[in-house]
Amino acid sequence: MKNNTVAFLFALCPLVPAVVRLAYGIVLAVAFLWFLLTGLGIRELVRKLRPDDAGPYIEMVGIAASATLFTLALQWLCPILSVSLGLYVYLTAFSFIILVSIDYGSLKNGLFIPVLPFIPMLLAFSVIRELLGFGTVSIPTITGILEFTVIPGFEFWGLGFWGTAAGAFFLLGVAAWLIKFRQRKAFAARRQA
Amino acid sequence: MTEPSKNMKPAALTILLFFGFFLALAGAYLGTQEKTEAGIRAGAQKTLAAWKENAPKLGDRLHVRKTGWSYAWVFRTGKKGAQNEGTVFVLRITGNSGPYTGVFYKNKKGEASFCGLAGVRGNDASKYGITSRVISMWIARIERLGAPEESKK
Repeated sequence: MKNNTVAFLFALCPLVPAVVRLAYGIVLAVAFLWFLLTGLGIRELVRKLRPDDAGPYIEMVGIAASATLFTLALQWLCPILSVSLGLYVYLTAFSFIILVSIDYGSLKNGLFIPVLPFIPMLLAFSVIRELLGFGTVSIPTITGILEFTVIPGFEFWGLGFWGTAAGAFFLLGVAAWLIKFRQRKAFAARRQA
Repeated sequence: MTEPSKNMKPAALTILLFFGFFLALAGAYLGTQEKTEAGIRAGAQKTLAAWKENAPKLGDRLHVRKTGWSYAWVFRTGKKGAQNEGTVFVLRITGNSGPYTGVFYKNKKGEASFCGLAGVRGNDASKYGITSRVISMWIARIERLGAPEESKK
């Protein structure tokens, strides 16, 4: 993988409208983990089946089936959240496919390297957006989301802009710049040494 | 083993795998629907109670034809054919700050109103980025819908 930052941004883009709350971030992070586990299982099955050219298609069908299974499990555990997040579970599967497709080398070796660091990034992005946009932190519950006020008086002086999609793209830009800056600094330090 | 039967084996196993996916999904669907409906019903009823003192009570689940996934959760309120008959829609609405579960009520005359967001703290939808423009758009969409039918179980 030459450029993790670009792959991460590509994979995060479809999820930008949803990862505005930590509660949503948690659900989608669990979905990512689920896709990773079922993806590995299906990959192993396909390897044993040896279907030649049909292998990638069987894997895609498997990921689609696992996304539907996850949606049904979400409906069972958090029915209200499943109404608002149902579509985004499928978009998470799409992001998962983007991540593993871009890093085809890792996929070929049976490794899903970009997926694991993506999960903490997704959680961090959602918690930062929620704190800046709402002044709260939330968790998923059976009846919806449970919010905890972290920044008191946010309604009076808080800037809800950071909770919007436009604010998210600003934050993504800043995050991409920070990561690039760190990478370049590390590269320069290595060259000097 | 002859060549054709050698080629048949992976194909047969693939069909078996797809059948396994189908069985798993069908089983999961049948096993989860009852609790899902009860949870959505409870959430919608709570939102309706916060919206109006004499909130309509949710009745049978309905099916709106040719509307797709967005209108999966529709309920009748009041008795069929009675003056207080209405419809409650529980659907995903996306505002400036992400998707939420919105509850709408449509009366017998076909006028729709926004009752609130289910599963969140308080009644102020604007706090969650749901602007009056978004609400108006959904009200117009719901008012345009045809009459829902009884859901087949």
